Amino acid sequence: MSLIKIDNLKKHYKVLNRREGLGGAFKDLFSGNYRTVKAVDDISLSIDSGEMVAFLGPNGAGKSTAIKMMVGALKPTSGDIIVDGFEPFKDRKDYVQNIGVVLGQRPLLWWDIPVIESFKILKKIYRVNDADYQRNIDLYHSITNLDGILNMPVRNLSLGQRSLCNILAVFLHNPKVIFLDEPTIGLDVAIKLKMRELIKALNKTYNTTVILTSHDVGDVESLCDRISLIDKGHILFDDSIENFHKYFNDKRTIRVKVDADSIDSSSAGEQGLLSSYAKSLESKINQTLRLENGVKTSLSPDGWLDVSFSEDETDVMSVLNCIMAEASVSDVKLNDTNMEELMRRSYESFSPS
Amino acid sequence: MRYLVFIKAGLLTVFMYRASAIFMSLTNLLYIVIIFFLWRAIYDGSDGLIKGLSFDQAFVYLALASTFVAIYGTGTEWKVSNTIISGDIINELIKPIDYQMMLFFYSLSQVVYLLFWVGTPVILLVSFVGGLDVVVVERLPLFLMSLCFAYGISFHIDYLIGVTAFQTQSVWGFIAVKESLIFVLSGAVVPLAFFPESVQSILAFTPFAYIYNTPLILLTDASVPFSRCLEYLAIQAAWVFGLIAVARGYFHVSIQRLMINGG
Repeated sequence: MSLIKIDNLKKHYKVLNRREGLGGAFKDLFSGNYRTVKAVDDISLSIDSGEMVAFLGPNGAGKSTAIKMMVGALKPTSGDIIVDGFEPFKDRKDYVQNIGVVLGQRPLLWWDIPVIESFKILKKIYRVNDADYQRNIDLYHSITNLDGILNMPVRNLSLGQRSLCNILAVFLHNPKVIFLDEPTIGLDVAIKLKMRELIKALNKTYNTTVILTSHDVGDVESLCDRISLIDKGHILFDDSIENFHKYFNDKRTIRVKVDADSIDSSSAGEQGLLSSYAKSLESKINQTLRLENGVKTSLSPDGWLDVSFSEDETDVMSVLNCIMAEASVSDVKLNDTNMEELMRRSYESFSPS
Repeated sequence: MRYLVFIKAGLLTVFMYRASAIFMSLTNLLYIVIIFFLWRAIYDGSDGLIKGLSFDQAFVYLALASTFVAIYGTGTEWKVSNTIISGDIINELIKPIDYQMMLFFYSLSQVVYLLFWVGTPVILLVSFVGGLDVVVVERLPLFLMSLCFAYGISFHIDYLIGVTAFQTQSVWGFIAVKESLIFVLSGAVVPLAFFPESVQSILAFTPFAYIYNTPLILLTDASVPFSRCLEYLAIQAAWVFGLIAVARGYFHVSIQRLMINGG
């Protein structure tokens, strides 16, 4: 039985078609020309208790809108959401007792009063008992240095300190599900790591389900075991992070710097020389390794030769050995596709260009 | 009662801005000094009574009216509309509490605080010029009850205006209109007794007359029969509950079609 079940969820907005300029703005006062924006268009998902899922997608893809419906703040245009037996929008007041929500920059705590007082207010609101409250506060102290932060009014904190306090605040009532929409904006590297540790620890201890949107690759890589890729209101990919790698990471690239003196300099111009050399290297490798699709070599403007190939066909060591045998190489880099690159590729692969 | 925690939150907030209450108090006292001399001059040209009110009655009425305008104006309309326009309303929706109740208690804490800082000096000042003689002492309990209802009406008008931001995305105009209506029609600057009968009878159908005029009439006008006093309180209570119902209904309808600004 899954904890979160979403079926054919849609959120459509009617937006006035605005014209440009002052005259246009004036005409718009009397305009009835609306268009429908499909912020979320037919999403179905099912998430189990204890899962950590990342919603990825370019800006404006509909991730936040989906989350706002999942936390009960927005009414879906159509479709169903059931979280832990609640319908978020309809049962909002009872439902939100069981969830924790961090929405990027939005201030969760009371602006004018010290952080610890805000925590005490939240303790009252969520009816957290003294023992649980104290245990959480102790936990916070053990993972991060809060000296001097808790007694300061929120308005005097830095952006990162505020984000940290926001995140800590949503864990006070031990929610079953936490929604983190861009939670680590503005945090320094050390605190980011600690936050991830905290979230992981809570996931382990309480089996807390985590839904995360982030453009921070590190958040996604270190926290989530599943990725839902959303664009233009649709889910385009929904699977484990390993499969995400496999799906988008078809090529690996070895970069080599070739010793220019070793190349036979009968042809004219160094640039033309190098590119014809690249071609010949490509065919030599393909012959030696007997590859069907083969490697591709290209010359990058900084003078490096990029040799890229698919790992389905061969592996890094064979290709590298082959290059070493053919050319006099002065430097080698393994240009691995990182998560950031994968995310970029996945966004681009789905948008019609 | 979980919501009492918001009284604490409100008090913590106002304590952070210590100077504000003091300046508000000084401004109010200065204003009261001005109305003292202004109405002294007006009364000098009369035979001691204007529309049945003596100078002392009019002065106590106006001094207390301006004081309660200062105390009741806790800025709920700005708070609500800013929260809606910035999109931060979502942070209220994800808490297991009622937004309206939360604001009510939050605002109440400021009223209590200002009652002390702004109210006490006014009582001292008015008693210093001998104005307290006009106070109908046996009506004090009724006056206090009426003040509570008056706050209920004032708060909910402010809250409703704030909530219109869901539709309008800007409430500056509404607030300006509300402030001038309340200024003129609630007895905040001119006792309603000075208005023509016909105007007064129309005002009796608006909530405005029940904000400042009603409690002050109960306090300063011994000629109002006791049964009439109870009637006033009943009408005030009806307005409070009516406005609560409208506000809850309006909020409920608004969040059905909510768009949350700013991502």
